Amino acid sequence: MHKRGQISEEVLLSIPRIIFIVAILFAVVILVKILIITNVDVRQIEANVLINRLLYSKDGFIYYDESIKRSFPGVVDLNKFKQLSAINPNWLDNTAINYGLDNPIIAAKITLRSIKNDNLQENQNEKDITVFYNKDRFDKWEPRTLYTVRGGAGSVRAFKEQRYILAKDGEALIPKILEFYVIS
Amino acid sequence: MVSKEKESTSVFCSNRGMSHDLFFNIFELVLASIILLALLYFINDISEQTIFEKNFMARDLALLINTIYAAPGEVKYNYNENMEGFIFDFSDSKVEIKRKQDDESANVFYPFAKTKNIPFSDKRLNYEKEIVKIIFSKSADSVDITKPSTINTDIASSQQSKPRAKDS
Repeated sequence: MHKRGQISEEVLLSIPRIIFIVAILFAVVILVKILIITNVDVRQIEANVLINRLLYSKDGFIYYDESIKRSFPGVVDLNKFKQLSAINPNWLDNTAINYGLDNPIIAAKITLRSIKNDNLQENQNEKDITVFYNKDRFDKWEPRTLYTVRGGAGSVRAFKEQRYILAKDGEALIPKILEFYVIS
Repeated sequence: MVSKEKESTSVFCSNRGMSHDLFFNIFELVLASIILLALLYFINDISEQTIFEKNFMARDLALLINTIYAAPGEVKYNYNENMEGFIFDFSDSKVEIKRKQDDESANVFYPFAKTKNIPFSDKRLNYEKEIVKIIFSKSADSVDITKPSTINTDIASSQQSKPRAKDS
């Protein structure tokens, strides 16, 4: 072959080689970038911590005896719960669990339900009492909690949990169910 | 045929200098070595990133503070992790973790929730040259964060002077 033909042959053969090398380079870079974890999902744990904080901390729903300065885990102060529901709905957001002016992390709906029991007639007509934490965000996020929707920048997850508690109404202790619907 | 063989064996002695085959081979070797060096530099840069550690520790510490607030009584918790080279900023209801050599954009933060009745003392802890633990302590009045060297004398003196309060 003529010398110029040899040179042009080499140049033509080197073009696919360079393309192949560049493709391998991109493949390695993309693989490494994919395997780096930048997001740590703690929403389930956030929800559990919120539920436990509402149930066990002095500023939650727990019954706290001022005279002996003792709190009673598993016993909910019914009067306090009713006050939170009707009179002071933002108390949890502003005082008990305060993330600041804006809370884009978590929201919850807590419902106190009666246990249907034929022996306890005073509970049969009692309505459910509902308390909200971060109600504005809860109302915005609730329509997005479809189980078919996964991932995405604006995605939220919902967590439901039930706890059996005793509600203290004066001197009486009434068994009830506390339902948590947490969206994070 | 004979003249070609003579050319290929005495390539450096030939008047024509390097053959084109050799030139292209050297060119490919140089290209391959450049790409190899670029890849090694990229992987070394990735291995030195601390974004995952910062993300993990910010969330871990924020959840820890929330959990400490959830406890009904007094709590003292020692947080042991490899914290060398990091600066921890607990203020404005968020945990911010950074390094001195990083830009502002590489800082990571995660919010936590305070309680109005139990104030949280804002603190900035620098672990540039040491690996020690963070001590979280919650009492009826406040939640505090310290390093071990400052807490030991305080606890010793408080234990001598005051009886421990019951859980509240």
